[in-house]
Amino acid sequence: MTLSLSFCLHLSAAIFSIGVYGVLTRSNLIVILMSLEIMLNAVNLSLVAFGRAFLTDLTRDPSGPQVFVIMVLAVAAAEAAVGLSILLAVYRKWRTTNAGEIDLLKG
Amino acid sequence: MDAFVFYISGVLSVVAAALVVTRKNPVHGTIYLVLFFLLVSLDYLILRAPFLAIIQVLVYAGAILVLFLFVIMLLNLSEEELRESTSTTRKGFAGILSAGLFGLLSWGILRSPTVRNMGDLAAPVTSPTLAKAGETEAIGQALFTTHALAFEFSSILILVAILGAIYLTKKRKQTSSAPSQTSLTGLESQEEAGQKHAPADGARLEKRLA
Amino acid sequence: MESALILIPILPFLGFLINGLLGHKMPRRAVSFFACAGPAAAAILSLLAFQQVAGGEGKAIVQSLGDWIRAGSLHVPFGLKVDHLSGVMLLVITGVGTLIHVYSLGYMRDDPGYPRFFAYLNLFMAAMLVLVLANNIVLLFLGWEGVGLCSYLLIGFWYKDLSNARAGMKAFVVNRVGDFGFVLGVFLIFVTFGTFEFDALNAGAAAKVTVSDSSTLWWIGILLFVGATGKSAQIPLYVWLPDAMAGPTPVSALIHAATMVTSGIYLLARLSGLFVASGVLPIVATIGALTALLGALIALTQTDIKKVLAYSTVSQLGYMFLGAGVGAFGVAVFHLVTHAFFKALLFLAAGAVIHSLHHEQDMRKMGGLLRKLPITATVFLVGALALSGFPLTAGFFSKDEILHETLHGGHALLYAVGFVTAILTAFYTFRQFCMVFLGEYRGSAHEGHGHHDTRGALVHHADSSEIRESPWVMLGPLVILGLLSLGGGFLDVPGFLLGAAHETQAAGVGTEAHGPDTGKLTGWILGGSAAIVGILAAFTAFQWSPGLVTRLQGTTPGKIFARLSYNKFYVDEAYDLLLVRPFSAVSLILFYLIDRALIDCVLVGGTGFFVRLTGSALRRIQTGRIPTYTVLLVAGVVGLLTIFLWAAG
Repeated sequence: MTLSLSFCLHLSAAIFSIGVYGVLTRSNLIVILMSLEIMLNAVNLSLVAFGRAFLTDLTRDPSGPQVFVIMVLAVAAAEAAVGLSILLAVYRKWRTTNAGEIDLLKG
Repeated sequence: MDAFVFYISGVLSVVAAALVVTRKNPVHGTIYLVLFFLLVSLDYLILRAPFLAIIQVLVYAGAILVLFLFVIMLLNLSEEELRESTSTTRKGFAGILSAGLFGLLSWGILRSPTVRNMGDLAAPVTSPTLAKAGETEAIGQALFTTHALAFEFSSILILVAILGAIYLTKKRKQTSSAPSQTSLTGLESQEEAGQKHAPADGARLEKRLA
Repeated sequence: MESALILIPILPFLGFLINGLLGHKMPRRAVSFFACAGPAAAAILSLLAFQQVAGGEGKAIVQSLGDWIRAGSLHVPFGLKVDHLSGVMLLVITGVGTLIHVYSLGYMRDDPGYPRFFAYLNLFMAAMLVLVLANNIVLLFLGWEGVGLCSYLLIGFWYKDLSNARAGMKAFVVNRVGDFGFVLGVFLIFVTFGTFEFDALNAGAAAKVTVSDSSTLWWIGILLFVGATGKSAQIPLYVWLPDAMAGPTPVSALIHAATMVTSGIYLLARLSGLFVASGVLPIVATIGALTALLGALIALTQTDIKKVLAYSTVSQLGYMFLGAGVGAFGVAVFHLVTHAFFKALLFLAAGAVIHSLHHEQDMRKMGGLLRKLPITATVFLVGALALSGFPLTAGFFSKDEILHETLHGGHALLYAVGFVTAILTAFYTFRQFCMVFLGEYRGSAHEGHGHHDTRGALVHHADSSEIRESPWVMLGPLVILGLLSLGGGFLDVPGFLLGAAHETQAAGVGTEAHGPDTGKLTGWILGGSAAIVGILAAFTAFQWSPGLVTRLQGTTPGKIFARLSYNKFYVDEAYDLLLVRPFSAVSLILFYLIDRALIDCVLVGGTGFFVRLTGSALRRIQTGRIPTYTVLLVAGVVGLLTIFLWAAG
């Protein structure tokens, strides 16, 4: 049994689409943030898969894709921290975590 | 064997992700998210990224998820507050969009001859140096030599994120002392919010009872 | 010296920057220092440069400062060059310029725009020096436009009076007409020769005229000459110069008599090879002679002390063009130099009179000032003698040499015109001298009337007891210029320039066909007698038998001539009727039809309306709710992805 790159990428695309679906349908900000984490993981998965697939071409920097993933991880951590604190601030002001009820972005 | 495990864990991770986005209660969603992260970490292991697999468990499952749980518990949202009213049209529209996105991505993947001609990803690596790629030593080497600048920048990013988080969550006296805000921070405001949702909730409760 | 050439224009420019930016915050003393230091330093540097060119090897000094413009085959270097011709010009500009700066210290002492005045004056010096130092015609054009700008700024210096601002505008617009020709000429030069450098142009033109048809060359010549007529106030574009006297008198002296208006002559001399080859010189000579005559005829009856000098300047510039037109470029430049001396002197002396009389310019209200202002009167007399061409003064040599060259070149008719003009020149000059300095003071006759001077302020006429000599800061430059006007004729400028041309073999200024000077002495006698006849006639008419003029004006031809001359032959009115009015009518139609209706309403208004329309439609999707935005975001991503994948295959 072999593992194809195509499967890995399809898996990544599927997970990403599920994350998008979550962002679109859920109105709880916490769940929206979790969906975003799922999307980031999907991208990471595709990066790792590519890194593995093109390993023989990456003689100069074989760990490059994985370092990239680590960077995404750092961004994800920062995003989670800031996102959740925004959530807290929003909750403190409006007493809600429902994205649909906040319409302050209206110009 | 590796490939088989990958397929199984892949399918399971899709299911876990789907459960995360569909569970009503965010605590349940979080549990499924842990499962999802662990499955992805398994995928990493098979794709010869052992260090990332560990980091995935430590950072995502260990740190970020704990953060989520912590916030959920801090807010301690009630049943009514957790209830969402997403219309069916919106769900359908979202479904079409995300399915369309998947379809487009899949089309793009299938069309690519490079992807099609790629060999077995689960096969062992022959070159001893390349085989080491993804191990802690190799990652460390790359991170502190080739990618040192990016690494430093990411540390600055995280520092800024920490500062931002502290600033956002800090209680500010001048805002809380303003008369319009005081009513929202106190207990009575919670009741107010509850009352605001009361008619709809009551109607839904009756439906459920019926 | 090669590397210091750029300093010559830079130093006055620094003065401009300092006085222009900080002048209003500095004390007067500092402003005065910076105003005069730049031109004075430039004068010293010019003297050093001139010495190096004139003495020693006699080679031109060239400083190349890299490229100015480089685009495709268009290549304009930023190169400065001092040879014999530009060396002479340098000395005149910096020398006379510095004297006038010093004079202005006194003349403008009580003016609130003191720093602004000197900033403009310094900027003018810088631009004029760039004009003269340029080694290619595009860089010359930079200076050319720079002096035009300063001229505009300084004519309208007392801009609160509308007529001054109008005069400035008139000068600017009339100059634009000339500059239009100039620019077309430069374009044609580029198309024809592919280079802008003077030496290459002069040599190229000489080569071209032998091999191919010369119609292109003729057009280049005529277009550049149009530019020269604009700047140097020749027929038909001379009308701006008399109006330019609205500016302060030192400006009239420096810009509108001594330096800027001579840049047309300089251009002709600089490109003498090209002009000779182009075959436009007969036109140049004719225009010059006619302008000389016309200017002199109008000057006969003017009553404004500065207007007489202005028309005299037009007339003298005509002489220079006549000289250049008969191929005697060196002589034209010689007359340019002497004219710079005595006309600057006359203007400054007139300025001193005006200054002493509290800004009275009407000569009918002057008279008898010889006793009140002896020094001013003396230097004015020197200037008047030089202008008339009285034997052994500066103007005598240069003017007679022009006339001599005209006759020598076989232009008998032009010579006759020039000769008549010479008599007229002496006549109107001494008419002016008599009216201003001799006879009885007539100013107090109108006492108590009061009138608005050029600054729009009400001034009372000076009582005869109040009239005092100007301070020495003004008289000093006058005396120096007076000495130059007396002795300037002994400088052998044409010989100097001719020698240079022989040495370098460049076509610079060396086109005078000099034969043996057989007729020179006759010319001198004729010229001298013309001057003396004119002077005596003026004294007769205005001093010894005052009734003569009124009797002459009583006859019909006398009456007609007096009216024509006094009204400047109605040239301004004719231009107004033939050019200005039709033009403004067309402008009005364009304004209402094209600008108001088409551009403002349809294009501008239509754009705004369309934007508002689409905006009001699109604002509906701006709900301010995050879910809406996320849906739109993902829809956009899907849409873009579709487009990209579509495009990819």
